[in-house]
Amino acid sequence: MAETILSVRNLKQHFTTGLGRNKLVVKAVDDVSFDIQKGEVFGLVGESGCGKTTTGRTIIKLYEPTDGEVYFLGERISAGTIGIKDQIKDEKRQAAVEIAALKETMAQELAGASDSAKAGVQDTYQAKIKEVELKRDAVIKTLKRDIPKRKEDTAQDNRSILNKMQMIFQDPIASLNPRMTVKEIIAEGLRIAGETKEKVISEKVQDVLKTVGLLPEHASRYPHEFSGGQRQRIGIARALVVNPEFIIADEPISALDVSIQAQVINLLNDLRKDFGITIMFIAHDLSVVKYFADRIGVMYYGKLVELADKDELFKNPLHPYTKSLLSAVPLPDPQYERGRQRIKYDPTVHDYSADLPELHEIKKGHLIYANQAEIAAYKQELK
Amino acid sequence: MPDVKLSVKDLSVSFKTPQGLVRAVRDINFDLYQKETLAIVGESGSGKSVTSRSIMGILAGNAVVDSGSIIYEDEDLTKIREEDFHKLRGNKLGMIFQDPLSSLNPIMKIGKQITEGMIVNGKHLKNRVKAKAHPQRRKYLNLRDSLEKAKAAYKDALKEAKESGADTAAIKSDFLAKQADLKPAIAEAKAAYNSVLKEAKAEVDADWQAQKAKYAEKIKAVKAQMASASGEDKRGYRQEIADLKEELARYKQVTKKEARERAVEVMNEVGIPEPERRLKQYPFQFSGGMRQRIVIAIALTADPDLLICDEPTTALDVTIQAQILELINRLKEERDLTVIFITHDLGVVANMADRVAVMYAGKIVEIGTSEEIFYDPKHPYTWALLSSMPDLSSRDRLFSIPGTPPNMLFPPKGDAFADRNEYALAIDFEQQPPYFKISDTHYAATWLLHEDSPKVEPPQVIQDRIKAMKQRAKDSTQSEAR
Repeated sequence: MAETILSVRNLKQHFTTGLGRNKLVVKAVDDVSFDIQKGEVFGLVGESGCGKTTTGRTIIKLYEPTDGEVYFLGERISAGTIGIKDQIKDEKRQAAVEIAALKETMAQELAGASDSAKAGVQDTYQAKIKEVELKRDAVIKTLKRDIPKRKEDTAQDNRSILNKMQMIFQDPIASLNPRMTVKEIIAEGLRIAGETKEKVISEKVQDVLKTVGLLPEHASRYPHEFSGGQRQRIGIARALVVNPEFIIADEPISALDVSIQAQVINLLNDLRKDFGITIMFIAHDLSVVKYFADRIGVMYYGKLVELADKDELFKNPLHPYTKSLLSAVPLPDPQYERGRQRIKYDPTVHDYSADLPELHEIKKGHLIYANQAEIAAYKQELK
Repeated sequence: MPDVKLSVKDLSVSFKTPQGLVRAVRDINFDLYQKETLAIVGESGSGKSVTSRSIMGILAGNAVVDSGSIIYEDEDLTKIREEDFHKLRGNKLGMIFQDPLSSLNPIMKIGKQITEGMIVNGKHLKNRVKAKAHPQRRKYLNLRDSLEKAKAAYKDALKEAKESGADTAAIKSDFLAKQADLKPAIAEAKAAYNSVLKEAKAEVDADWQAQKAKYAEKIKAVKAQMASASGEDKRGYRQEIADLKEELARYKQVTKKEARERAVEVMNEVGIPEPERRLKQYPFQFSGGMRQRIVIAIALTADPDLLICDEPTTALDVTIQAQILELINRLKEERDLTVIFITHDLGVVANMADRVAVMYAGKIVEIGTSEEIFYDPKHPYTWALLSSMPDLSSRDRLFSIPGTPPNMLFPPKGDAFADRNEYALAIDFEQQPPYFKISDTHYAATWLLHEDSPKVEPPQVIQDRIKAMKQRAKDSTQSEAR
């Protein structure tokens, strides 16, 4: 069993806009959990706006998570506090309900009791209420103690760990500063990591340029002097220079031309083989994800709806959304294309009013977001 | 063989830049048949958009059509005047652009953007006058053009003669004779044009006055009835008068109301829900797929019969892409459209195209039906394109085309792809390959097809893939038979 490098637990990322009546909460990522093993390529697919990019950005701490935790190399690197605050609120509400109930029964008993007994009844109930209050305060105290700990874990000073995680961005034109030379762009990460010796920096930049297939003399040029594929290589070099163990590649090939896409995928494949880098690959082109990734997670409106090994997912797609997504992939085969039937996904087929859905492991390594009734149906389908 | 709708012959387009002429399109030839979909594929910079833009006549200001012609309905689109192009562009030739966000005006409501073209082009009376005088106008303008051309040729000849020291008198007299010939003809044509124009105007005006009178009478009659009616009934009469007025206005031009009705119709057709409400919204309030539908709706309002789609789905994701492709296919069936589809996604091509043209460095390197291109590709560039795309079963290292496309400031002497081509022969660097015929519909420009060249099989990946595709086709026919 490979070692888990990254583990995401109940991650939530909600964005709020507006105030008061106009307040709108967008649940970009809603309760997503998955693990990534060392050395694998984890593909995350879904249509635009489904939260796959937000997931990537939250993991690398470009956003503070609303709730949930991210563990990287065994350490908690980010944790939301909203969940705890909600728990505290819940606890308070529960205690208030209990106290109200006690007070009511006390009033009833007082009405029925004789004058002499009244004081005794009152005392016993006061004691009971006190007990509830104490219990509540104790729970809240322990919960509250966790908040500073979470905040501390989330602080940005944990450089030695965070540097092991890097990101490659979608648009190689917009993500490179046009006023910095390639060397400055690549060295920036090193400098932030605390490297001060100019000689070491130069050496490392030269090395990493060779690794991604650029020439050392390219270091003194500016991004606009490069073609699209070369620019994406610079983006990759910038991620590689700090020796990461884990790279989040956010649609690294969507903005590139067909002939160049193959170059970048081959390069990423080599890096993974030569350096054992784990990659989280976010994309919407399913044929590329199928080719490159080992396991694939499918996202739909902030939820992870299906997660499986790539062959398993393409062979036995279970969730209706996955089926619809797979049926929409165009293949370079005219005969097949003429006969291809696209399956439309209708989110209303799920009846989640009574039985709430969860992520279930239906088969070893094959997870699906469904409720009990659906699980039974899917199991039937698998047989 | 179906009719030829549009025919591109030896078209070359260059762009003037400070560094020199960039040869974007070099001598391309193709025929577009009625009701077919022709896909043009290639890397960015291969000249596929320039080709489509020259058909639409919307090339950038620094573009020059060096040679060649684009024949559409017996007219050469590279030669006709801008005013005449107005009648074709939008009306007969529709275009859908790549990026639906930047091709819509962000500060204009959708309704206005859809109806704008209809209202501008909808001056019925003026259009009638123009149509009546059109042949005379063409004759006159053609004569004038030929005189201007003669003048330019004369100036050039004079300059040349002076430089070489030859006798200029003969050239001069020649030109003068020509001019003397042409001038009266031009005057005559102009007079004819003016008289026809006057006649047409008078005729149309008379018709309009008659209509006006007719409607005035009708309205008068209704008003007379209204005077005797009371209360509730009056409202009905008023409505009737308004309707009559609207009817009269529609005789003259496309009214705002009419345009809006038509817009709602078209929006329904392209699958935009609640069109009446959506008309009042701005582009940013729509999702990417909906925006692309609006762009398609705008193109459809004018009832084009040739639709050029310039990478309409590149900015969209798979599910939305599938929807838009289905929409275009459906509209093509319903409206008998002829489509030129530009893309670099071969999966999309397989879905849409009847025929495929593969472009590289401003040339069509291979053209054929989509079966021929996908099952029997002949040009090394087509091989490279096909093998650089992973399909759902590929596992080996992807093939990537080495190097970059040539700089079209200095177009290569031989085959433009030779530098990046592992199958290149010595002659590829020397001489441009001609088109070799593989079948009646399939042509490829590569020396590999010459009878003296060594026999080369396509790369293993492609062979495997074709085998897999044939197997899949066989399986599906078998399962259908069962």
